Amino acid sequence: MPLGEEYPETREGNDVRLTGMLSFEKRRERVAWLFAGPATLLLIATLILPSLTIFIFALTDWQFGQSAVRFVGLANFVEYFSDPQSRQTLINTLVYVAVTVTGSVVLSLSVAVLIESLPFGRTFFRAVYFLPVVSTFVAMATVWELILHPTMGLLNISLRFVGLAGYDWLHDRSTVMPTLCLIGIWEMLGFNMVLFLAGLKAIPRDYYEAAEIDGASSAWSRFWTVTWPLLGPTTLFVVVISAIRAFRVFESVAVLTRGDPGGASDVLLYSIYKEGFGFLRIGYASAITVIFLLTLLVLTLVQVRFADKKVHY
Amino acid sequence: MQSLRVDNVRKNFGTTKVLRGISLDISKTEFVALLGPSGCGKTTLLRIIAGLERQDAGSVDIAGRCVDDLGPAERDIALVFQSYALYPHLTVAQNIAVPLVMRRLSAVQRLPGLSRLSGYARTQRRDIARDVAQIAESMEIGHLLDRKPGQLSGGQKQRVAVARALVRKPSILLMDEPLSNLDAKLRVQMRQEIVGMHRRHGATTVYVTHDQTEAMTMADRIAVILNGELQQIGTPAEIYKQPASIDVAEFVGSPKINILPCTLNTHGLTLLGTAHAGTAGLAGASAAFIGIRPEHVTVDVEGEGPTVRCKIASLEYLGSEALIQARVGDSGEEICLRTDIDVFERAKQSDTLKVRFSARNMLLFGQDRRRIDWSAAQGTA
Ligand SMILES: Nc1ncnc2c1ncn2[C@@H]1O[C@H](COP(=O)(O)OP(=O)(O)O)[C@@H](O)[C@H]1O
Ligand SMILES: [Mg+2]
Repeated sequence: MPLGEEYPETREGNDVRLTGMLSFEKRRERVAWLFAGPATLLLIATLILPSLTIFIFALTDWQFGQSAVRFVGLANFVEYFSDPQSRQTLINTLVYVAVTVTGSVVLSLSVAVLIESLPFGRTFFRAVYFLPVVSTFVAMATVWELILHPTMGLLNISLRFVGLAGYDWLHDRSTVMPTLCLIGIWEMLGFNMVLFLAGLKAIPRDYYEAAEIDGASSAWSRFWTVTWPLLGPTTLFVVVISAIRAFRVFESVAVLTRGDPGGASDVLLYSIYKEGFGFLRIGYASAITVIFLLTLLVLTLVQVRFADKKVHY
Repeated sequence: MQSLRVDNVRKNFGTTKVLRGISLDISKTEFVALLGPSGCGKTTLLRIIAGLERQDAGSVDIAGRCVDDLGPAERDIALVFQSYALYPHLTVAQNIAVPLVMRRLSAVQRLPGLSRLSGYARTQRRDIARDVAQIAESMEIGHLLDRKPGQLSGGQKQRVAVARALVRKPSILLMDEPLSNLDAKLRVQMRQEIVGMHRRHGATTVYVTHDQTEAMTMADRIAVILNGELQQIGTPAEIYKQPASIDVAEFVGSPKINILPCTLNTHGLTLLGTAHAGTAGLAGASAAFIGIRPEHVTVDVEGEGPTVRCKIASLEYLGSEALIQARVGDSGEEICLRTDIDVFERAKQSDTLKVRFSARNMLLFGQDRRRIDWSAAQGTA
């Protein structure tokens, strides 16, 4: 509510009172700006100005170390969208987001519901699933390399054991993205599970008992009658958070594949890093960053607009 | 015809004995209140009847059928929760429809949009909507059907909860302190509405409350539970006039009944250190305590019963009547009397009072705190 609207009756006062109230409201407004000021300045300095700079860079051909900078208009964007290899980074990122968000939300919700229904050992399982969240990915990547190694990896050895041929998971065009998606799901599972556990805890037991009396005698029907609808706000939150996290996928690509083979696992953030810090093409990297930011913005707006009305009661 | 039978039900939580062997017989269309202080096990007993909790021993029969191994859905009961437990994401109409949808449609038929494809699901949905509208009309919530529970007042939520419970005509309606979340005025109104609803629908009702006024005004019979044990079951008048024990007598009635130690035997009555003659009516009885309700302590000069002189300790004016607290002699025993305003005005002028315990209304209790039925003894004397 904008300042001053809490006192609608002041609009009907006589002139003297009205001017008195207005100056009072002016004062309130000034105080409000005073309080909001420091945070606003900080926001402008650290977020808005850098973003604006990026937008400006994106329209130039600046390369780091070059003295002459030319304004090139939308040429960087045209280059990005006309190069199939570049386009692939956007497609890879969107596929990665779709698969990991769906996978981690479904799995973490199932795990949370199962853990909550356990008669014992809940703390143990909670800790096990939360482990990837508290450990850094770069360290855990070693473990993944060990598992996925084509000849000595645990996965291929197990597959050979049951008579199946393994893959070179991280260096095969057809398996590299699915493998990265799986690793992404594994990474996000624990955090999402904790959010769902908190959501589950907030559902009063009365609802389950009411549903049981109303005729939802199986756990399955109670899930659809009570748990799923009442978790709506939590689920929306988890989906948004996961999507934003998945969209920023970087570590696993940088550590495990470097976008290989032949760009098959390249993603937006990694190509920004490559263009900007590898080839020092600041202008082009800025253009990809703009694409990255805009896609993120659209994704978030669509999710919130679409879902906010439906899940809140 | 008997509708609910609870036979020697026991329940422990860990080492605390919550129910210590409760037996109840409730007939069809009866309205029974389970009355007891908070923590005495009322909710636990109700949950055992509903099948939400499993008893450690004893059994529950509903409509002549043992239901010990049946889940809540198969017991043909409905429960109104203290919190109402209305599903917050569903409208009032959808809330009331849930018990019907769950029972009349299979999981597949419940899928949204399916009633457009299946004729059977469509007719069922239509019947459900009709039943919902009907019960909503009778609970006077027809105009609220499209609202969500978050947009309802306490009293309206209460009505929706009752409608959801009654819509499928359960053989037993269970209610757990349904009025405790309402303000005092609304509580009085809802009390009458629930009684009226019971009269119209005639569902056998078990109503849990810690509020004796609710129990007294609403119930056909009251079951007084203290400390996990059923102390007494009877009509409100029986509970009030012939309490089974000192504990029941003290729990029911406000202000509390006066309990005074005494010796009563063939030699006569000694009360507060004084022997009383002229208590002919009590001849032949023996007791360790007398109980006398505040309204039966009078300042009448005439009448039968022992009189004592006491000092006025405090006066409370209640408008239509007044309460007087008085201390008897030097013994320090306090008694409470309920009087009309005339007596109150006179009492204000003095600091002592001579009161009479109406012999006809005196209750006698033995050493074991159980009531002695002296009218029977009197009959033979
Ligand atoms: N699930 C439970 N676990 C342990 N103790 C319980 C549980 N439910 C109730 N109790 C205990 O049993 C006693 C009776 O509880 P309850 O039936 O809710 O009483 P009332 O409804 O009469 O207030 C209380 O002392 C309560 O603490
Ligand atoms: Mg209770």
